[in-house]
Amino acid sequence: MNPPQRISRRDFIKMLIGGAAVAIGIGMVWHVWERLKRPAEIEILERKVKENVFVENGKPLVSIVRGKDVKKAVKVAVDLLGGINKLIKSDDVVLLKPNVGFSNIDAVTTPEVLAAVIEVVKEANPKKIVIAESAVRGRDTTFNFNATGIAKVAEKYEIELIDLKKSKNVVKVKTRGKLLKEISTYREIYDADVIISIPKLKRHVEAVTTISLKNMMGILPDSEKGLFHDLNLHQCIADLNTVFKPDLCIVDATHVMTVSGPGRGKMVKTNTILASGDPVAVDLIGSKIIFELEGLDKPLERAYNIPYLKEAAGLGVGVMEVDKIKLIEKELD
Amino acid sequence: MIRLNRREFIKIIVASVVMGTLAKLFFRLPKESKVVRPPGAIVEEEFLNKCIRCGKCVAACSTDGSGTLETCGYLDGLSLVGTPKVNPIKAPCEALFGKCEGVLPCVKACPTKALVWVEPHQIKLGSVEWIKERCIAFRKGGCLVCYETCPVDGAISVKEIIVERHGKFIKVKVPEFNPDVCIGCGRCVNACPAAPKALVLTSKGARRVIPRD
Amino acid sequence: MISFRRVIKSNLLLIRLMIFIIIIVTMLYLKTACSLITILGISLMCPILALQLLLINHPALGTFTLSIVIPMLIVLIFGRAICGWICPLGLARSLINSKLRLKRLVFHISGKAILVLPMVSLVTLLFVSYLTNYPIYCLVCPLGAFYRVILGLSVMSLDMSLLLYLVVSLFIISLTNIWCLGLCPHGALYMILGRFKLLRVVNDESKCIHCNLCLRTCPLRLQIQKPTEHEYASCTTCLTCLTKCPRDSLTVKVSFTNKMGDEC
Repeated sequence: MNPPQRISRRDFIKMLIGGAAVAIGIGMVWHVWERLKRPAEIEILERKVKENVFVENGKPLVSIVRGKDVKKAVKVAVDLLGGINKLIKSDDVVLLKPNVGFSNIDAVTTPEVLAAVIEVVKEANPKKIVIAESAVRGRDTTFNFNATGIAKVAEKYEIELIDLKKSKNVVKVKTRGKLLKEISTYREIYDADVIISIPKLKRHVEAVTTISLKNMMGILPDSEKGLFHDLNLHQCIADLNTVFKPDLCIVDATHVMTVSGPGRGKMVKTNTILASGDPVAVDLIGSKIIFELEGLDKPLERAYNIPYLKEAAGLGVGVMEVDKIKLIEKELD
Repeated sequence: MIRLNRREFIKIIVASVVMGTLAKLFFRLPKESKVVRPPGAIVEEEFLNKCIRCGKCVAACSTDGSGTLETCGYLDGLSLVGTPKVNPIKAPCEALFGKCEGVLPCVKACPTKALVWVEPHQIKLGSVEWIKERCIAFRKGGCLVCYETCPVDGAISVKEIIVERHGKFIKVKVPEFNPDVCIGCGRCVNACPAAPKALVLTSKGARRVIPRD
Repeated sequence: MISFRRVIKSNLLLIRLMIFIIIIVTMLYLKTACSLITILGISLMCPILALQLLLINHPALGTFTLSIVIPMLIVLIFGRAICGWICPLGLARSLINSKLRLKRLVFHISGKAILVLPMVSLVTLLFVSYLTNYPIYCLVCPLGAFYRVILGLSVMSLDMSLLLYLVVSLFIISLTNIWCLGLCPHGALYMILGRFKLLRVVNDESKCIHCNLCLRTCPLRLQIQKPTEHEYASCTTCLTCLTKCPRDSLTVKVSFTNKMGDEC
């Protein structure tokens, strides 16, 4: 309760400036607080990578099955490796990682292949199955799930569908990589016991091809994906897979995107499924198939020259020499 | 205590008349839009007249905070305050090839028809501009995320150019932008990993509706 | 027995704070700015915007008839009580002034001036809008800045220039009484339309000791002991005088008449 006083013009101006200063101060504090919202210290976790269980006489197996019946092709491809029970135990949490980076069906894992994989995995009766994805930067993952029919498959088999871009549980995990010493991903990914990568066989404008190894970029937050492109995409793909190596890869080569990619390209129908416990081996074979479909000469040599494959093999993620890989091919019809 | 007498009042009345005349002389509505408007926006002059700055379009776009629309502040220009704008850095516009296609909640929410319904093929919010010096592809290579994420065939393509790096001439792949095909959704801007962004969404070439009433 | 007077006397500030928080939370939930607020399916348009649109004959007026009429009816019934209990800037102002001991720029206006100053302010505003053919006041309205800041928070994209404008306006409004008393167009309209509002604060001459505490504590510095009809119209029924009166000679009467002491 102040009695009224004579206020001089100078005092009034002083109060005005004071008010503006307070406002600017509040604005700055708020701005800095926004920047610091991410916790300063995130504990760096470790993850043990399993050895490839689908080997014969020390050689990783790669199965190639051709057939119009997708469900049968996927089952046969996995059985040729030794069967799903070699990998999954009854108390495992299984993460299925299809490629749902885009909203057009040509660029993503076909829902039929995902459904076939789910049925095979269910035979091993794991504790829990989840499907997770973080779409390409600039795209909405949930929209992709719905537009491509992946959401319907998850609903039909009653499997938890996770839009990683909506998750706030970011964790950091140590890698054995050259460039990236730790990787940011999500708690939902870290907690999985078994990772099954279900990529689509495609060309890629920057990475040359995108198959199992590149598909693992879908477990990253958008900021981490950006970092990959800023540093060195090929090296970072290899580094990522040193800690988050898929335990089983089932490659959807029913329709292959050739010539260009990863969003649009020339689609070639081949009705093929590839499977392997070694992502480097199956990516090598897959890349060779793409080059063959494009009619390029020396397809295997071209595949050998893909930088991310070379780096990944060098870091021990998998085997790249074709004579150290056992290929099993089968035609169904 | 300050007492106001008749003389003061005359001063106030004169001041108001002067203010009014000055406002009339100097207050101009911009004809071209500096900011990118929501889909279905009518031509800018009419838009600024019709828009009552209620913010309903912004609320409809961002029910969970994930939408692109924001209200203009004083830095966008006094006559634009409170009107909606697209901010691709926050999120791209989903009106085409996205979750709002065929739905357009912003248009549905507008009470004064400053935003009107448009068919998907008519939507063009603007076009994108490339800032070469900031682009990772141009500076060191290894990034074409804008090309990857662009949903429109032909809006962004890849070009191989020869640049000089450390005394050697090398080939790098850089993006090439076609503003005529671009729909201005801003997905490329949102996706660009460069900091600061190498892409800017502008209102150039925006298709605005001519109101007929 | 619960005495309303005692409840208000001890908790006035707390009640104000609660209403302020309720308004902010409601606005965050409704996700609306200021021009058109939709509650339970009914849209209410800001009366000042409505006046400007009427004046410039805005093309969309036809759709807003009910949205304009309902708030005007509310203004007719409650007048300046809206300023005291609903206007978030008014609430924020009373909260700020109770805590900050600052030198303030205080104006005393008496007599006919209480009515004339707001009228001049409102007419000037409408005149400028008419000349520019544009609801130009809405661009600088501090209440507008407040609601736009709330909207920005609710959609998680806050424009800093709006926040700055709001804080500076709030500061100025709190430091002086001339804004609420005579310059704010909302206050001006509520006062002019709400001449015959429902609630008024009347003084019991038999109990009054003429200490002038009510005048000194009134946020608008109104002559409360012997109010004229202009003072009644300008009063925001903020009840500050009621809480400070040492003899409890002030009471709130619910009546539509504007004569002192008359029953409805």
